[in-house]
Amino acid sequence: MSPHRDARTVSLSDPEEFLLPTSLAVLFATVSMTLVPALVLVWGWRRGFFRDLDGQSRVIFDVRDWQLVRPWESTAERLDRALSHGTPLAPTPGEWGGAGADESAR
Amino acid sequence: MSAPPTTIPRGKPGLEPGEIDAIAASRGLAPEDLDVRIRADASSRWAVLTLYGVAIVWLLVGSVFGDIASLKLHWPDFLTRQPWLTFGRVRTAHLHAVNYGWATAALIGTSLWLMPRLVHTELKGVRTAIIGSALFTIGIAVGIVAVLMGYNDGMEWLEAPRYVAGPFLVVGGGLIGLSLFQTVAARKTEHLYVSVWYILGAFIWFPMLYIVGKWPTYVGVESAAANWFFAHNVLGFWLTSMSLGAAYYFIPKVLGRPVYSYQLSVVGFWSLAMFYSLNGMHHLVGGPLPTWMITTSIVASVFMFIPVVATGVNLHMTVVGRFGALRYSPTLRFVVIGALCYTAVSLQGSFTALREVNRLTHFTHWTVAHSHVGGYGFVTFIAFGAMYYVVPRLVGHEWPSAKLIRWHFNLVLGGIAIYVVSLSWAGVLQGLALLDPQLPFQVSVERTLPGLYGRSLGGIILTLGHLVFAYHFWIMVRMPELARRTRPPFHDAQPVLYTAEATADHERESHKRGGT
Amino acid sequence: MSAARNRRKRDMMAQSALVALGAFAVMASAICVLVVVPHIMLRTVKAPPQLKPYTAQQLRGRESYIANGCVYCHSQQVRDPSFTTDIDRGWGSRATVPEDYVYDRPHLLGTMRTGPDLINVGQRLPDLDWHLIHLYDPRALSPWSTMPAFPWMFEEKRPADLQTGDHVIRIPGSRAPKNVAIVARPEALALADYLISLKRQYPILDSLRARDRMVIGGDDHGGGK
Repeated sequence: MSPHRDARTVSLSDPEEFLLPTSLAVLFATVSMTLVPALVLVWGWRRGFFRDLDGQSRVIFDVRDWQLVRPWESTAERLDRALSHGTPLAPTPGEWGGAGADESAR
Repeated sequence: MSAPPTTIPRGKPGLEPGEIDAIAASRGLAPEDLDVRIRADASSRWAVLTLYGVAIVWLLVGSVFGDIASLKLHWPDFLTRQPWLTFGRVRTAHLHAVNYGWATAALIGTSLWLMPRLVHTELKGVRTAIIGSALFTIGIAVGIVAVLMGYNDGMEWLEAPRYVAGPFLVVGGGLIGLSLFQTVAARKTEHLYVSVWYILGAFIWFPMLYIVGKWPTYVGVESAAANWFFAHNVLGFWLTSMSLGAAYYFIPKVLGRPVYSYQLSVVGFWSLAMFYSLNGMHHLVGGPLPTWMITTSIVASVFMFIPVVATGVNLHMTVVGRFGALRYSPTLRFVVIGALCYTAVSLQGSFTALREVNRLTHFTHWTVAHSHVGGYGFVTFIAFGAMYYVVPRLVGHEWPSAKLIRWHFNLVLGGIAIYVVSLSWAGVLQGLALLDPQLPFQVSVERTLPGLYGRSLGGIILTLGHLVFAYHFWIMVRMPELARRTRPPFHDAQPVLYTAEATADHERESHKRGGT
Repeated sequence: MSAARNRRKRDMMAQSALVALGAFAVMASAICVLVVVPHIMLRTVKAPPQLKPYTAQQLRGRESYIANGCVYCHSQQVRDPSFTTDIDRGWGSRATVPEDYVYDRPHLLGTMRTGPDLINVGQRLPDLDWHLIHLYDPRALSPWSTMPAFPWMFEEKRPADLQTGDHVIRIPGSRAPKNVAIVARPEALALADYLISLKRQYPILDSLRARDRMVIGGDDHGGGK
């Protein structure tokens, strides 16, 4: 959007008015919103926050979560889970947020 | 010593260390794992259940106000004798009750449950959180009553009188935030999971937004800029933020699979923060503000593609191949649909911010439909899903009735679909009529009527769904004997033995895959 | 060992700080761009000479407009003719500019047009009784209207009880109530006065929008639809 308009608009030459052309504001906003976070991310990366992101994604799981038998998984998937994580555990009723025995493992 | 308890005794906010060890030993689990989950859930139990109860009351109140407002738009002589029931006040009461009442309370409750789980420590400042919740609720109620009585600060989303409701909201919200910050400060985990960022962010951002929105000295169009800065950002940095925090937890947790790409989580969070914050002026396209402000917001609205696609891909790819899980898990049903609606409403928003599209949709019912895809399809659905997961863990047994869950889900899904389709259609017809100067204004009103009937129907179906959910919640917490206790509860462990049959199945499938 | 633990604690605090301060900084810069900078710019906006401040009664009427949520169905802005058809529709002779709103605390720009735009309604519909009848029963004047009625802003009196100074309104057609006189209360009179004061069609020669793509200037006679 160019700030220069068609000739019909009255041009103001009032020097005390603080007018900001669109392009300048957008440029400033883009640069500050890109550069500052980029610098922060670089600092974070050098500090080691982005090491082992896969490990970070596993923070919410405990041993029980890995071992729970999930009724929607195929037998093969369940056995893989058992082999990787140990004794399979039966989910408690309501484990998946529902009601009654039809929600648990078959 | 008598046998260790198999449930967390009702009325007891925590277990003694000795009891925890005994339970763990008898179940063959590591005490640390058992300890963390039980202590986390036990510590947050009262605060969360109270907030959930309050949230459901607001949901019902807000639904009734919403239905009344919707009926009035096509039945304008309905309930016009009383000033406190006029459309302009009832509509505001609905907005406050569902956004600051229902959604806020449900999401804060969920956050108070999540935070201890995420940082592996008990909720700190439980009493602070409960007092804060009570004060905040009083503040919302005072605000709504004030608006119905005709006291109104004059800006959309910010109507509650600042010196009357404000102190309750500020002190109450501050106390809740304090409890959460203390919990994070006491954390035991080395890493902060992405949900923690979203929740922390929400509690840092909302006070900043509130100060900007409620600043008392604005005049003229700068008040419009501040108004829509607040109103748009309260969606993104308060409601969306806590909702995404919940989605990033419940989806992987139920599936037993980490999120598809943690890198995308990082990108999604920071790009959301950067771009969403500049969107607000897209509510004022064509309006009497400096063009550069509006252009900045339109550009930021389009840039929203980045965080929305990042989060959408991340959550979708986590679920892909496991959609069968939705049959077993009401939590996933609600949360996954919520996440889909997040993607949909955000893409819709980016599109609608463009000047050429906005020219058609601005000032029409399209915008209201859009806001319900977000506030209901996304935020409310995620809140429902979260509550279905959390409440059994706090009361120690599963939900009593699979049928009531099914009714709830079908009613609200059907209701919101009817709502959004009919109202969007009405909005488009309205916009087209308004754009044609040959058509008198009357035509735009008449053409929307069928869609408004549809919206009322959708709204009433939603209200029925809420009644079902409220009833189910009531019997869940008050009548545990209705739940089927076929097995001991969550901190128990029941090994599953595999039969020879199952092993043979596995071998057959491996052969088919060509492996050994 | 203890050095490693301290390092770990520092890392944990740095992580929390990164998230908290980063979140704060992003929001703070957005506030600068969309609230603080506009405030500095808009401070130079001066009231046009033809725009008078609201009188006390008009301000009371404006309070009533706010209290009853009129803004949720009515907008108060005319958009540029190069963008859309607000002016063709007769809602104004020129687009509205920031100068038009200097006496508005807070703005009432609105986001819905369930009803027509009102920023120039005083130009289109300058008759006090029209507004009073419309507020009492919109469908008496526009049968297709879905606007709510505001009967509590009026008093029903027996014709014998009327006093001098009572502003009685005559409802046309079959919707007129029988055997009562409808008298406007002060709230109705104030609200109608506020609505009639809404006129923004004087020419603007000196606007903050001048460098934007606005056509400024315009004549004073209202279009009407």
